[in-house]
Amino acid sequence: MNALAAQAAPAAAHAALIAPLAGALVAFVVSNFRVAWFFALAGAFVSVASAFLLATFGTSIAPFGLKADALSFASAPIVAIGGALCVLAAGGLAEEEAGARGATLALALVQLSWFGWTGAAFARDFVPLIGFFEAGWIGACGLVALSAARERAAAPAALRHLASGAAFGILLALGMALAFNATGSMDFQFAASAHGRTLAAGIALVCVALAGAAAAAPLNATFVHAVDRGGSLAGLLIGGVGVGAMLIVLMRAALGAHGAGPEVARAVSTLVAGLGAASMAIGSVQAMGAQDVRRLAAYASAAQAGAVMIALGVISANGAAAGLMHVAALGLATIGILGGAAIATRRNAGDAIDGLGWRAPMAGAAMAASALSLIGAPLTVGFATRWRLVEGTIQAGWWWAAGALIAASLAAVVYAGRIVERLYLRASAEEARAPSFALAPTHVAVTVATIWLGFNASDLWRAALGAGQLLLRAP
Amino acid sequence: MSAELLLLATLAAALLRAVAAATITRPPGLRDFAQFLCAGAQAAAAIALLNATAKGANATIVLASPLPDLQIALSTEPLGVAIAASIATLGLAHALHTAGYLRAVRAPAPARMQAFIALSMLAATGAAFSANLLTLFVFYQALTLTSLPLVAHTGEAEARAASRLYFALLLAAAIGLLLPAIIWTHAITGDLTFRIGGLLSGKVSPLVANILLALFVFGFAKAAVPPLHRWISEARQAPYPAFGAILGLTVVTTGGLGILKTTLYVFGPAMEQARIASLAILGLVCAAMVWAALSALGKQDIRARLAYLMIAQSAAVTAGAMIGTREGAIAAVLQLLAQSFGALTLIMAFAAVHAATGRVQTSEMEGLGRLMPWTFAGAAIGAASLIGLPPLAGAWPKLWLMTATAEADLVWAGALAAVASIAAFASLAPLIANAGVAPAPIGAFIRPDGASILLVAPVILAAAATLALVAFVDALARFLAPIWGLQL
Repeated sequence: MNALAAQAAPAAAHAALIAPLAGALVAFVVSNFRVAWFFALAGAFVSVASAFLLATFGTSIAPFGLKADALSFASAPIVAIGGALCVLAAGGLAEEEAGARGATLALALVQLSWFGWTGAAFARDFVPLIGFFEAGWIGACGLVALSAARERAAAPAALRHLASGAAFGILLALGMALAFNATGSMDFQFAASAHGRTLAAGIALVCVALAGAAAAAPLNATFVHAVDRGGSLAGLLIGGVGVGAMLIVLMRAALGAHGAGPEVARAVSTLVAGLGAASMAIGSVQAMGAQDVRRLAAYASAAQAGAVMIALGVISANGAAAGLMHVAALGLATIGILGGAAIATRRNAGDAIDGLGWRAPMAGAAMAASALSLIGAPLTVGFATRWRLVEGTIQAGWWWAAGALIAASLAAVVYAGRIVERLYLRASAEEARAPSFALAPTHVAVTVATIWLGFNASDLWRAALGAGQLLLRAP
Repeated sequence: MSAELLLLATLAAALLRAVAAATITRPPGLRDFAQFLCAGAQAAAAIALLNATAKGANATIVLASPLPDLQIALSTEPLGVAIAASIATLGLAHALHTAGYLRAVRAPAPARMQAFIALSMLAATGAAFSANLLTLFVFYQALTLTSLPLVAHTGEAEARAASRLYFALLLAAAIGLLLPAIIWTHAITGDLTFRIGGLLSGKVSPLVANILLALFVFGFAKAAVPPLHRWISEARQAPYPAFGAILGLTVVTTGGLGILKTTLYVFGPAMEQARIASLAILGLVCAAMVWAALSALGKQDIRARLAYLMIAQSAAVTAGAMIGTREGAIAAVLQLLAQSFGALTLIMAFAAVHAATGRVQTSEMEGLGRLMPWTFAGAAIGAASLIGLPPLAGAWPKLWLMTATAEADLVWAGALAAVASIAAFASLAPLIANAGVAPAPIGAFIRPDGASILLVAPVILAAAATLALVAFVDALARFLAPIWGLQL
């Protein structure tokens, strides 16, 4: 059985990528939303199963000229689960947010974007990366724009987000041009070069661009607008999948600097950790001040992305693994909070989720589990990842970073604790609405995954550690 | 039945109790009976486990491995078993009391309160059985979450504000101080398993030992070490049964237990290296003992007075642990047990008074002892034990504390503890005495039949248990001997 599965691994690498693309094509062609959604669900199932097969057995072969490696193996299930949860949620949200006519287009854009983010997480060099990056970004912007049918402010938000994507793309290209100039290679496993400063500047530009694409504060203004003004589905996709995929690419670039020599590695490490600390501090403060839950989730995402970047800055296999685990926790938490909030009727009101935990127990459970995971409460995936993040910084002697991570957790007590309080300790401020059962599978899946990984994150850790060791070529 | 099964049965009974409360909505009598039955099963299993452990049985159960080198595991070491047995035994009387109180005052959402009391008992029992620091942290945090709805139970604005502070303070201390200490310990030792002789022994420098001790002690904010004690006064917003569960059964007990397990099993002889921090904390908690006991004197609200007295009592546990000697540890463990019995008896007695008369101010208690003699007799026993009047159980830990401080040349600490006891006496003795000697008030009862048997019986039972504890002090010391056998 195992031998058979191992033989199927190369096919799995193809399937993990192609299934979302095929689903997107079907949705573009088919006009009946339910039929398109059925195909999308089938594609999501294939993609997730393939991702797990890939994570277990691995292969160096992947479609579109990509070369899969340990980071691809470890990250494939993370991106696949995020994408699949978005497809699942689309069943309850697409028609409501994009209208009956736009629903299939919304579903197609979700899958196109998911395909883009998956490819970006697989890409080991610049040329395919920029293609997949643009596919993911444009798909997400299109989805935000579709929400304009219900919320007029979504259109300018989509345009601004598109513009910021272009800016990050240009910055990325500029950085890679400098790196190519120094090393003659487009590979993210940077080699040592006689033009150390040029290479360092190139990698720095790449890292800044990717940090911005991963919604690191203060480069996250358009991201926040897109999550806040776009529909819930767009929020789930950008926050739950896009941010994670960009952090994975950032991980590849930042740790790839290790091969460029100690001076370049040190410079990149300082830059990434500095960006992470800034994002964590700014995001935490913004999240504590946020009044509505969608903005809160967007700011919290910046804070948590900052924690990942600090872990990457440590430049150790343990730190990288902790960062990758935290990407998974962040994705689940974002989908849980935004997916739960999606059933509130007055979406941008501060008190929209008051008492929601009693009115809609499954949505409430998903939001509460996600909020507790953001805090780092035990028996949630956030606890295991927070543990490894802090331990990684302590082992590296980065006491300031350990302190900053703890401070960010304390800030999370304030903002995520407020979510729990509003869910269960406040009286409902709006007329009770029948919860959307189409979203229930997403809520249940997020809750179960958050708690399950809190009990047993060992496999995730081993996969992440393998990726970290590969990127640093550590034994 | 094997020790493993008894351990699981103790926890399963608490869980079943919570499930029963949540699912049996009607009739209330059946729900109350199920509560009593499950509490009885929990007490029986815990006592059987105590007996089995005394005969040398031991058990370790691994519940989960969140990460390859981290386990959530339970074990039957003597300290944990003793605390679990005390929680379960007192829980039986408390289950009766909760049913009686909720019926008498027609409290809203009684099933919810009973369910969360059972869940908080489950969390506290899990913490007692924890085999390592990670497990202790998991159940410690679970206790914060399960006790939060108890504080906010009435849903009033004041209760909600109190619950926010309660949650924020306990969670922030645990995440900001306790968790870093645990992760740091893991980074140093690669292990978190509690062991006699200390996990950190011989592995830490004095600087690190001092920092770690401070992080641990303040991180266990449930022990109410100032300045992280405010949650305890906010907890008075909880209805009486919830207040009793928090102060007498679960939360304060788990705070003290955390500090004891840390000093005994994590530091052990390494306490010597953390001398600066331990002396500083000792000074702080001794001063806090006096301050809290004196503050209690000025409180007119019964729950506020009891809350401040519990800060003083809990500080005595920390003081014993900080001395870092065998005698200090004995004092701390005995204090932790005695304060639970004494405090819960006292709280249940005043809860019975409130349910029967609606009175909550100290000035309103005059003469009530003549109308409710059994209740006030129980209150007198609980108060005497808390104050430390010989020969009651609460006297022995005070005596051990004085001995420990004298032997460690810390006479000032013993003197402060004595002053705190005198202040506690001044807080409680006149109150009880006035209730007994003043003329009985007319028309004090809300209902003509006064307090029901369900209100009075638990007080008598708990008072009897407080009295009986005296007889078991020696046996308890022998039972607990292994944990300080290798102390300094």
